[in-house]
Amino acid sequence: MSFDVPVDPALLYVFARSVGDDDPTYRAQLFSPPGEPVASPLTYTRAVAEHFDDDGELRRGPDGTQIPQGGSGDRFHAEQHFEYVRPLRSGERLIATTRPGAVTRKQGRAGILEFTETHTDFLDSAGDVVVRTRKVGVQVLRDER
Amino acid sequence: MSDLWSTPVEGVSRSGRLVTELTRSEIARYAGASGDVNLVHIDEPFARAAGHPAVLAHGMLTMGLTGSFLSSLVGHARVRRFGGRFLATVLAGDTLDCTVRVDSVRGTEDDIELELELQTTKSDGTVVFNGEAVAVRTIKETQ
Repeated sequence: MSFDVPVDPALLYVFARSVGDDDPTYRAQLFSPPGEPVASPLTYTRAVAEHFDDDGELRRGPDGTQIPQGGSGDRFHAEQHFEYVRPLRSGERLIATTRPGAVTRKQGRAGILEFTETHTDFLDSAGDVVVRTRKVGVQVLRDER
Repeated sequence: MSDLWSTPVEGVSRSGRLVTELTRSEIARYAGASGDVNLVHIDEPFARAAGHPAVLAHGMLTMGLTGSFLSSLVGHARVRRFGGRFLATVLAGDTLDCTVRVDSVRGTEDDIELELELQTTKSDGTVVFNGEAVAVRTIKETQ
């Protein structure tokens, strides 16, 4: 599965403010020329990808019917990891490519915990990796004992 | 605040406040910026019905705030890896602090790689995010 994510200096600015990053660089680079390296909040790629993933579970559908209603207490975002290969460039299109990773189980106090890895690589137009990410989700399953 | 490159020595650490009494509007702003509009983050009655005392902050908001503190210490472009585990929920009203510690130093004076440990805690001492990062400063940056 893949979808496109833009590197837009205005989005970087808005996202940086939302994570308390008040570095003046974000305002200074608002109108930077296409292709110029830009500063980016460390979690930008994976975090804003929700906006552009039409199949994302956290995405509210255009008709307003797919309101996410998580938080039931049995599914959690357990881990998140980033590897940065090179800086983002103003105006570039990143292709987010997602693939499933390992699934493991272990016994927890609340039942069986199932850990599911998801790998999302952000590629440039040449197909080279710009940012690698790995998410681990955990779900509490019914105790099978 | 002094950055970590001025004293790249194992065991050196820097601590700072990420947010004081996180507000619902700050959570809502992150929901809008990220696109994660899960109701448990933005709808108080829904969050309470789900068993929470208030709306929850996104785990990625906690990580984002932690990342901003890390960037302020080493520079955005110098971070090569950043990751960690979410260990406890963060609620509206929580205050978060972070400590970044130099775990190891490699390389030469011209090309330094720092392995860092990060820990973000609530004011009651609860650890909410345990992370690690690698940052690199090279002589090429200044040439």
